[in-house]
Amino acid sequence: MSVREEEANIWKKRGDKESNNLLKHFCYGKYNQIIQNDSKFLNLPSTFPSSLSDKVQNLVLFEELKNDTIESLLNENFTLNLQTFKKINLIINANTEDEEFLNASTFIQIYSIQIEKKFNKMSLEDFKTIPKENFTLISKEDMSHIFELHKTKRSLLSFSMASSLLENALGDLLNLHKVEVPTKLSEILSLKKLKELLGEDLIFLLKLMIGPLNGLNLRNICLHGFITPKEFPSSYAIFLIVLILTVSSSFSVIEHRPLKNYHIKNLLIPSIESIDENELLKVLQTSLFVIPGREECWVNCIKDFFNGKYKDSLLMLFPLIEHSIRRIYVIVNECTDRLLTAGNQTILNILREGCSLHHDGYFVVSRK
Amino acid sequence: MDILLFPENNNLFNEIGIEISNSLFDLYIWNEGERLRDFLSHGCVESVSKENATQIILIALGCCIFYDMNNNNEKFYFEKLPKLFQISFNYLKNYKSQYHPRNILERRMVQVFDKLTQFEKYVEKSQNIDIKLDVELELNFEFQKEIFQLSDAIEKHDLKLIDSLYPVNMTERELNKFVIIKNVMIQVEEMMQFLESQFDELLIKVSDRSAWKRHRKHFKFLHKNLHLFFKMMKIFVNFSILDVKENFNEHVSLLEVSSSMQSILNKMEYQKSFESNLFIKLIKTSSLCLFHLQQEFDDRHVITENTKKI
Repeated sequence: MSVREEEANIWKKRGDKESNNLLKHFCYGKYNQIIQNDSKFLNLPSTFPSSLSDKVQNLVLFEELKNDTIESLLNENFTLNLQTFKKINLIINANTEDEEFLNASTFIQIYSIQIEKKFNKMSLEDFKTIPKENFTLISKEDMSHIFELHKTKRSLLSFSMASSLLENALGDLLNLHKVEVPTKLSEILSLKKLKELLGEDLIFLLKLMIGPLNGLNLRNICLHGFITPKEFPSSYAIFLIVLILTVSSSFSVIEHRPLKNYHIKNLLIPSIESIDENELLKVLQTSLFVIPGREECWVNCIKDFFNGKYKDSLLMLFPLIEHSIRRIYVIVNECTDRLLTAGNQTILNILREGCSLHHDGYFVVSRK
Repeated sequence: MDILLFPENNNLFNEIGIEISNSLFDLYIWNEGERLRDFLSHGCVESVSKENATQIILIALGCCIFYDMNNNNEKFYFEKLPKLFQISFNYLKNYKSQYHPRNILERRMVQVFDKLTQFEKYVEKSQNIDIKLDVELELNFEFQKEIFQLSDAIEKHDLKLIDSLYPVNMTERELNKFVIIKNVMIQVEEMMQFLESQFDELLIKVSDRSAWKRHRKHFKFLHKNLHLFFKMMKIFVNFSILDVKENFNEHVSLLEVSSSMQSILNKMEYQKSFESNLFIKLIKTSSLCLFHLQQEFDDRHVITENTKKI
């Protein structure tokens, strides 16, 4: 009998109805294995539900297509033709709180699919021939890697990397102009100075995709582990790549702030050797910590690690850990509604609500 | 992740246990931690070493085993696991917090203690150097006896690192105490640096006979009395470590140390020489933090007494 099943028995003995519900939720993703031992779990749904709320799901997974021609969406140098975007009402004069802003964000996928079609024919070598003027914000090397990830069907990682590098690059840009850089990307995008530097149209598109909660808010959905690779439309990755190329083309060389290098600091770490993929998968499939549908993602993280691609590996692994912890959190704290992304009127559950920081930066908590 | 790991009214920590809690706090929360996740997601990382990445892989895969449905905690299960998972689980099972403020403070205190010991040996060694000192030192430090008595009692305790089985949160009072002890440790380190340079400088002058009478006098004083400083500081560091441990009984002797130091200080205030000024400074440093610790103890003592009454 496993530890979880033992715990289940303890709860059952208590006769606590609520606790039983909690256990059901906890085992939600692994009902197939559980029902072999307990028929009570049969009433659970037959597929593991998405962690995206209906509203966010509709926004992100909108699939309707229109017949706009790709030629008018892109310029020759693979940047966005902003005039066309204005014509098709993807760039409009609206505040992020307006209904029109939300509507505009729902149409991004339609056009991003068109753009992706064009890039489907492009090889990595072709991508590297794009003029260097389009790589002022993020280096050609990094952008090529992001493009390669997209080409190898790892668009979620591609997007995550692109959005994080974009955030840092925009910080570099602001730093050059002696503007204090906020910690959040949505705050960076709200700065007046950035509007002056990039222009309203580009800022609007960035906000639609990655900025405030009222848009697609893809940066947070991806980096906090809400969305699975299968749910993530690959075209968003390519749209962000083109958006970055477009922003870059407005600037000459940008001086970048030094980056951080993580090297061992008093770590006593055992050395590990690679593992057979089937063996790995076998354990991942029976672990409650691995949310069903994300096994492949875990495998890719481990593969990347053993291939020496540590940044790629960790950029996917951190969100995976976070969402697994979130799942346990909502169960033990009886707030299963918080497993989902929040709707666009409420704040995503990554806030430090109620959390006060001491002058030394540590938590101050009264023990009860 | 911040809200998921917010300590108040959160059942998560009971569920995941202390090892996973500590590892997650090291990864995501503690300010002095690596904050790799934050920097990575904000695009500020150029490279990550294999060791750093391995640590996170081990924690993640260790969590998978903690929650493996086949995990029945039996030897047979672990033996059958692929080696990568065995290593990961063992790593997580024995995980000790690296960035919990208490651990950081502890490491600093042990470092200070080691430095004191090293410096002490260095001074002892230099006593073998044949130096002719033609000065008389007429100092009457009666308090020396008291310090030696105290240190004899104290050095019976072993300096041991405390296991990291702490709750992930801290009370405000605990936090204040850590800040005080941390600041005092910094002062002790600075004081040691100052003494080391003074001692070295004087040693060179006395050795090559370029020292003036004043220098020789100071050197002789340091030579003769530095061990007092070591004793006092060791008393303090040792007691600070004991204080950080959650063993309240030790505080009884802490009060004794505090009052002894205070009386020593009162006696020394009458002597206005270079040497006594130096020592007054040293003792003030120690007594200041003992004072804080004493207050800390008093508060807790009152709470405990009240609880008993209830």
